[in-house]
Amino acid sequence: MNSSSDTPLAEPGSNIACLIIKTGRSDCYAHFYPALYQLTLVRGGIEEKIDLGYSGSRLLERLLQEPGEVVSRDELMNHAWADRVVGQGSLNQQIYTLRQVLGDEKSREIIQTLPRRGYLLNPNYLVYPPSIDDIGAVSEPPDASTPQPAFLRHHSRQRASWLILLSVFSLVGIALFATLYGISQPRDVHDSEMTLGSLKVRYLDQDAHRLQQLILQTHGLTSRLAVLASKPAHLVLRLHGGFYELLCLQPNGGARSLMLHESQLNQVADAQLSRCLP
Amino acid sequence: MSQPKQCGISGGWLLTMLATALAMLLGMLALWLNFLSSAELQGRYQSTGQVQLSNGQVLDISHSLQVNNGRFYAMTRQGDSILETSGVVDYGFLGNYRLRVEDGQVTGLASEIDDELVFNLLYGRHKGSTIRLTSVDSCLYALETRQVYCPARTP
Repeated sequence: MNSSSDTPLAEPGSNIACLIIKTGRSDCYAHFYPALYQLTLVRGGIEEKIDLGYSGSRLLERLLQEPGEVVSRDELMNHAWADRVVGQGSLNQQIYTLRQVLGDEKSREIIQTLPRRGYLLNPNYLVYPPSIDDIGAVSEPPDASTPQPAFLRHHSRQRASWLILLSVFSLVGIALFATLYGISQPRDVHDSEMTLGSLKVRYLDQDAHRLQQLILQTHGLTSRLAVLASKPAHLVLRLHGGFYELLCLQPNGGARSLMLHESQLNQVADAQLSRCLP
Repeated sequence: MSQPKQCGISGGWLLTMLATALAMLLGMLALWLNFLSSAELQGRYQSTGQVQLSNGQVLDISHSLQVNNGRFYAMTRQGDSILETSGVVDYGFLGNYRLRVEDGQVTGLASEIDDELVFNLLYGRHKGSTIRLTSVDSCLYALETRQVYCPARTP
């Protein structure tokens, strides 16, 4: 196992999953990254990264899968050295090394030996999460050539499914908003605003060509209104169904309207126009 | 120990995801309920004006609308012709609303009124006809019936 002290804040900064184990040293915690086969000791803000190696990491990983449960020696060996035949001494050595790393070599309280049965990891030393099954997924594999442990693949799938679910929610939300917007909004209306003296006239029509005609045809009307207006006013003008509709918005939030049959455009009296204006 | 829980732990992450999913569902529900709600339309609206018919005759017109708990009651007067309607607010969204007429009647319809104006009155009378209101400044404009409703001034 290699170690390097004062490494920068580590995989900790990334999304790589880890478990936190309280060590036998006071105020010292071990951050275990199964995917990296690595463990970072954190004490007083100083971090020390320790490479556990494949077997050491797998051993600790297996113990962490069932904290507080006895794991037999055979099972530990099968898990840590899946493709190799090794002697009991290798397991003893790895357990001893893990205990050293965790500051547990004397008290043996973190990794406990149960004679003729196996080993167990004391759950009281597991800070977070309570079990390796609660561990998060790896966002980026630490090494493309390194096979990802099965439990991490499981959580990767879990996270992917959540992302898909959230994406679906987002799409449904956007579609819902677009549908409601489409239902509620009237057809696109072309508008043009012109200032004539103290008047602001907004022309509306659903057709851009007709809008231009409206502006031209009502030029005489709006010129008369501009002359008659004694104070600034905001007008809305449109032509619909043979009637010119003039809406004079009042400063108090109200409005007065004047509808003129198109044949009456030039016949309208000044008194009527003045009555519409604020 | 520096930030011991910043390690991609899925318990918290799943909780966040669940909370986010729940928030999105509630957001969509709120959007839908807001669409169906007419609370923002609640109140009294009115406007006055004049219409000059093709024969040169000038009539006073007035429009009144009362919205209360998702129902509306409206009255339009054009000279002696009076249209009264009532119904429900179908939906409202971003300043646009749709009213559905359930009951309506026209009285005093004068023969000299231009067809277009008669049509507007009769359209608004029929059960099932819908009237879309769109915002024009602070007022609402009825696209189908050419009525204008502005918030009534409180004394």
